[in-house]
Amino acid sequence: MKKIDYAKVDWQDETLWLVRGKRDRLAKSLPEWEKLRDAASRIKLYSTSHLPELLDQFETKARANGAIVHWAKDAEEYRRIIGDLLQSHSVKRFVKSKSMLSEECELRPYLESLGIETIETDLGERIIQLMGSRPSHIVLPAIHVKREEVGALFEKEMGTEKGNCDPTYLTHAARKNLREYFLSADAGMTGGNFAVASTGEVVVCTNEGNADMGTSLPPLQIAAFGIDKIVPDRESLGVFTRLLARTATGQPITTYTTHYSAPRPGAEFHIVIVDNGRSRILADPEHRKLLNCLRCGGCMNTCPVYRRLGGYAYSYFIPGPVGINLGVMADPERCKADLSACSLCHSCSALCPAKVDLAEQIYRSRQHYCSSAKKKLLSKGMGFVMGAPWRLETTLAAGPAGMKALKALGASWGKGRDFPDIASQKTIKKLRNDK
Amino acid sequence: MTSKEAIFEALKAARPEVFEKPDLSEVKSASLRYEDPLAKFCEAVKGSGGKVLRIEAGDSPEEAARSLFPEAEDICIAKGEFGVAENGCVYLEEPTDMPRVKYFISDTLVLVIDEESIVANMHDAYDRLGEEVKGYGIFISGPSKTADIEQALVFGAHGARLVGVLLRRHIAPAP
Repeated sequence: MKKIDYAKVDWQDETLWLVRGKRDRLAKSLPEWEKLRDAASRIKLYSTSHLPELLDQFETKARANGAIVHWAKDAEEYRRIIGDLLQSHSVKRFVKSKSMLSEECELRPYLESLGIETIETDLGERIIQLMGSRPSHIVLPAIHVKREEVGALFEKEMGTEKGNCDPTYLTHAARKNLREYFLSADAGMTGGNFAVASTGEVVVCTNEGNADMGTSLPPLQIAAFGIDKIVPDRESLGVFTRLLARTATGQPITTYTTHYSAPRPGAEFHIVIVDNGRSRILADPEHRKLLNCLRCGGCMNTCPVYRRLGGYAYSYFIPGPVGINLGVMADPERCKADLSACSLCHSCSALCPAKVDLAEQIYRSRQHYCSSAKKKLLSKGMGFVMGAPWRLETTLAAGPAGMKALKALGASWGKGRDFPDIASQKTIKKLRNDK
Repeated sequence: MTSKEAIFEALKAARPEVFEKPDLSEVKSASLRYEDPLAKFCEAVKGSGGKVLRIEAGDSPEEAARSLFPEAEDICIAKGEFGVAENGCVYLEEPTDMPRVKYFISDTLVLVIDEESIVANMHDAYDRLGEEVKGYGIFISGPSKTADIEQALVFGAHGARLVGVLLRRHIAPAP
């Protein structure tokens, strides 16, 4: 069994709780906060119930702006569209921004298999890429990595000073290193936080400016987003840009909120609009509100289970409350065990800026996926044992021997679990008498 | 069937409950406004890691930028359209006198706006922009930043390391 680094667990728990605290302070400083959440939820519900008309409007506007629009039913088509675009433009080096859609559709391994050098440019994502790992949080991808690990990694990959793990030094080393890639890239790509139907523009929010660097130099720009990213107009952006960063990182807004509509002079601008299972979520009334999600990561920062487990404990690539629900929708067989990584405290539902009913959905999915005959038998048995004091006493008396037997049996269930010693009857009696 | 048609068919087959477009006038009118938007703007720029300097209508932005950042080697001065009090953002369009990348690749970015251009919040900002499309537009608040290494805040991730805003004072009408 892998030894748990409790200091790291505590650090992550406390750090994410600080982010949650920053969010609280900003939310409380706005008397209209709950009205904003309500407005965000209602705009999203309107948008997802008018998708064909809003997507059509978006496409018409985007074409009029000079963008080229592509449609992808699923991950495979998304990968193929982007791969074909890059190959037809003879792209050798490709810089990309953080995009959960690209993780969902496993874009990078595909492009690398085509021989296209693909560079993640968000610092956290770059750390994860160089480690050959995967993000453990959707907004703070490298939250589980300690500065010493980054220092050792950059020493190997970028030639930084041995033993220097100062975050400022390491960040500026990565800035210098990645600038070479920005200056020589043949194409740049972003996801999209919002796609505005009335204007045909894609809005991208970042703090680092990597999306802006990556789209300001190369002759080919790609923006890809899921159909759930559509919002009706700029008036709605007022609501979402006020909520997003306040909830995600506890900032009033991200450093850069960029609106891309036309291609840069002399460049091409391609937009890829992706379904990949979203229409299926829309068809499920119990889960359609998942399409409200802004991917702010707020539900992870507030979740008492996520904060201690970290992202790698979950089966789906998006962890935390929203990841549990998205995973169960995408691949229930693989992800249904994650439904137990929830205390049903409802903190996520109370915090979500677009009012996704995260905990309620987890509860409903448990009823659907987790009520087996075995479990019912177990509850019945427990009910019998606890139904009379003498039955409970007898069972407890058999406890220590029972534990030993379990250990000896070495059932597969016991692998990786601790078998605590149950106090003997003598100790229990002594404790009772002490009282 | 094209992929677009296939997606639209799936969306129509989903038959979701239909929700009407919400009226945002209530949340907009309930939103916090500031007695002194200029003071709030200055506070917000500083909160985002930037600097602010008020200048007179006839002052040279180059000299003012130099006085804000005497050590800076590579200063880009850009004209902004307006500022946003609640978060210290400056809105910029595609520059006409330089490539767009200068906003990001310069080590120091100094943005010039008229001080009476400041709006209270993002609702007012988007109302001001309307639905007109100009090809490109960006809100910038303070220097480029990251906290991806152990949540330690570092300025200058990829974009400008230093950012200043020059607030140009209103020209008083001639008596």
